[in-house]
Amino acid sequence: MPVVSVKNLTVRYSASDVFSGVSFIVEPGDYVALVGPNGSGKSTLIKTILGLIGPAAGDVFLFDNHISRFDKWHKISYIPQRLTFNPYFPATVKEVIAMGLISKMSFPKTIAKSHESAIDKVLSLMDIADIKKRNIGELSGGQQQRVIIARALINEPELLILDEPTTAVDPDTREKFFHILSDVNKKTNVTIILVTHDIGSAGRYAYKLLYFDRKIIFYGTFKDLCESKNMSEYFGQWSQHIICHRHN
Amino acid sequence: MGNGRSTLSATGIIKSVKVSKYQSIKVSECQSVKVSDTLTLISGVVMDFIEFLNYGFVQRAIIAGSFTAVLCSTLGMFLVLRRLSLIGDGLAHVTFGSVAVGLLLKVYPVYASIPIVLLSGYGIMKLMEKARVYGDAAIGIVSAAGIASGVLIASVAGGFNIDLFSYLFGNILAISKEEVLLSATLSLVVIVIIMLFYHELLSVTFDEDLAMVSGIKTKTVNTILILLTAITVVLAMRVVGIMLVSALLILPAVSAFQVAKGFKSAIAFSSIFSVLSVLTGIFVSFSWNLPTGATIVMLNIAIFMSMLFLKTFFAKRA
Repeated sequence: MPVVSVKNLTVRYSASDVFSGVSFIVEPGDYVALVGPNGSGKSTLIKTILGLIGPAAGDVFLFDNHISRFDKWHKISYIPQRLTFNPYFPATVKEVIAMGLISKMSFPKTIAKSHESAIDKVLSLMDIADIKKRNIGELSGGQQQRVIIARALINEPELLILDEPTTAVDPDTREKFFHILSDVNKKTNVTIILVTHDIGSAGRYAYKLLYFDRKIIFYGTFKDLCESKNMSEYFGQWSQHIICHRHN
Repeated sequence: MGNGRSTLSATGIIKSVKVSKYQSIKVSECQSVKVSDTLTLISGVVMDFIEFLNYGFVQRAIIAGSFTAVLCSTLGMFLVLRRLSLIGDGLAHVTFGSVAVGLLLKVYPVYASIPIVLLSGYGIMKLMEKARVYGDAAIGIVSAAGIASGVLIASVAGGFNIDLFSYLFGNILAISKEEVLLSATLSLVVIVIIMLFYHELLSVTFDEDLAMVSGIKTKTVNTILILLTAITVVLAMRVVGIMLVSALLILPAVSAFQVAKGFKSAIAFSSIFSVLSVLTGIFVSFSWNLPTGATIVMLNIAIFMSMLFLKTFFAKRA
């Protein structure tokens, strides 16, 4: 059963297509790097997969359920590219992380004792236990990003979608975060789709590459990348050779 | 039921209970300030306060005001953080039209206002969703329609300008027993709904996309928030008046943001500030014969300034 199945997807803003006829499948346990230049429609593709944007045509299936009927949201965590919350938001780090558990709570929603220990675990995993009582608005961009990552991981998702998650964090935290992701992917078989514009570093963590520029240029393993005629045409042989050399 | 006549009579009561003893102390104060005079002054204020609490209309004002204060401050937290503060102002303007409709049809204005303002709240949402009108413009359209219809009805019907005026600037001291009951019941209903949907409201307020991916039906939560705001605005118009309703939604929340650690703590601070301002406002306006709504709002501004000062002061020391 594929985790994500996208069939003939078309997204349109005003009169023009952002992309059209996009199809691909993500299998359980895959670690896919979704790479493309700025403005290529990567974030739009991700938002459509998650049902945040309605497609003009085509279908999205999550865990074999059509997105319009999908209700097992506890299986999914998402880290958006930009956080839109008010900078004066008075919620503490602990309160923000607890929001990640909402899909696991039954009505009326309350935080159970088991949730408390899960919060403590993820706080120490992301190295933010010392700031758990501080308001999120008081934190630096990097600290806020760690909190949002912790919020995504606490759910123990089966599918983790990350849209350029480390843009605001320092290199050390970025490395640590990617190690955690690889570790979680290997140990729990969580499926990961990581959006990035940095093809150079993507292959260090992901097994598969989906190169997207308003259409799928390439989708396969990094090994297959070297044989891809599409990539050769898109990048030119010399650039393709450099990318292949870096990943093999 | 509260109407123009009861408003005027409440003002009359306020004027009649001005304590002459209190004024004479002020004169003696000018001559020489003695400890005994100060004690007499304090005891005078205490006696005033006890006397003040004995009035039925004051008791009604305190009960209805406290419920509305908690309601406004709690709901205001979500509205301010979602940058929807002005929806309170817009819906308050609609109440101007709905009160005029009530007065025209000789229906108790609060009863006439509840369905009209609820529909207007829903209208703002639909304008934003279907007509692709930005939130502030949608609020502006509905708000203008409310004011214009109120002015037109008042002009055509005539004869109830005084009643309309009392709703425009509020008169909590003219609140009737039925209004207290209605206010307390609706406040409790709204507070229970907020408690039941607390996590959903908090998540949607924090980030709508993240909330959607957590399986929260954000459109439903947004509808609940706007409809609760509509009910709250109708209840608050009797406390501070149509013109100042948004202040009761915004000011306690922004004051709480200055000092609170955590969302629940912010709700608690916001409620305390709001109730404190309403109760103090009733007493101060009663004692000094000032308009209650405006006094409550000015007290809220004073609280906000104090909290802002405290925050800045402690931030510099840290």
